[in-house]
Amino acid sequence: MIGVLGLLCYCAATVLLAPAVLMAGTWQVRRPRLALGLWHGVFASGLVAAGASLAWSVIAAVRANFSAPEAGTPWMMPTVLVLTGWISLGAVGAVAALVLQRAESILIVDRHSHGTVAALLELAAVRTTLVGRTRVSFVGVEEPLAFAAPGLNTIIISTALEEVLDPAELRAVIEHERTHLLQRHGLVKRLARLNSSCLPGVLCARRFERATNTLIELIADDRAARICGPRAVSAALAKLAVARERESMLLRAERLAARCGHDSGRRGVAAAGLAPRSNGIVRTK
Amino acid sequence: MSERRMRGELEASVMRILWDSPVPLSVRDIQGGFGAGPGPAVTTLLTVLERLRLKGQVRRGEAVAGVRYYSAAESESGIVSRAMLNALTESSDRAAALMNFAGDLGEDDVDLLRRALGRRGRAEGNLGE
Repeated sequence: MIGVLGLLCYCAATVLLAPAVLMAGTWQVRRPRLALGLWHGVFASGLVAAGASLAWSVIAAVRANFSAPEAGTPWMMPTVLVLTGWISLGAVGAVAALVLQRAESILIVDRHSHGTVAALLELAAVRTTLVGRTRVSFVGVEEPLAFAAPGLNTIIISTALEEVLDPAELRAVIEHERTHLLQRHGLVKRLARLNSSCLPGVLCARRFERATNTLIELIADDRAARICGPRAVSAALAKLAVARERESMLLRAERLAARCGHDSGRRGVAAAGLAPRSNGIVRTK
Repeated sequence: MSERRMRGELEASVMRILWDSPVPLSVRDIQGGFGAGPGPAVTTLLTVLERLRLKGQVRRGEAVAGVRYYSAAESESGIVSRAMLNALTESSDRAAALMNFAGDLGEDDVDLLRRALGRRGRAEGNLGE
């Protein structure tokens, strides 16, 4: 019984304390891989502890049920154990049903998205090329954007983005998206999304999902910077930050620019020939 | 049939006629594109074309011998592609299935990046610094 309580306490600690510890300071921005590993490690260990506590309580209940009763044996403890075992089994069933139902809705939305991407490629793809084993399709769209569709193992780049970036910057964008595909970030993101949708309104789950989404972007930026150089990634981010009016992208650009000791993030903005907004603040969408 | 639906169908028919034509068309040409039978009145078509022009879907050329010619501002596939992209990028559920280069960072994440870069607050997120 004490063991079960200990495991449950550990679960509670992962939910209540881990976010505070993992979100303290700004080290995650410098070490995004470590931060993502810790977040998911804590999450996995919390799940294992919850599963072990449930299994432990069921085993204790079965043992209490099968042990031969003796005259004068206290009845309280075995009854509590059996009741706890049944409650645990009920909890396992309820959690399994919830997870399956939420996973199904996520998979349906994902399938729709990938269906739309496939239709978009059929309609608007102007050319397709291979980078490593990854398909890169250019679509004739007037908005500068780039994204990876993990279900199709494809990167989609708009022709408008191609016009805005120079070849080195474009390659940096492709490497950023390839990182998502190669390191299976789609799966990591989906796991965090599933957890969050199973625990709606739970702050820790929301923070876990947000941290996952942010850290995988920083990890992809870092890998692209290792392959193409920080300057190219930083400049691509800065140009798109202006086109899409996203402060987060500008900050990502400056993060890489700061690392390599130059200011290409801001220079990229200047090179784009854009004056600051009247209030001097980048609007985030 | 509601007036709004009729208007939408008329706009769609006009766009279809413009997309099917390799050259810009006058209002009379568009009226002829409705086939046998009385098509919409010229004044109705002019209203529809003006509305489409304001939406950015139709381009109006300079008058030649007193006649104005109209053409589609964007190809049919371009409009459909844009609608698909909007569906993909503007619905947070659908966008979550994709890995967007622009990222999916919330205000908390932006704050974290600001702090990591030694910025104090939103007011310092200045492009012109």
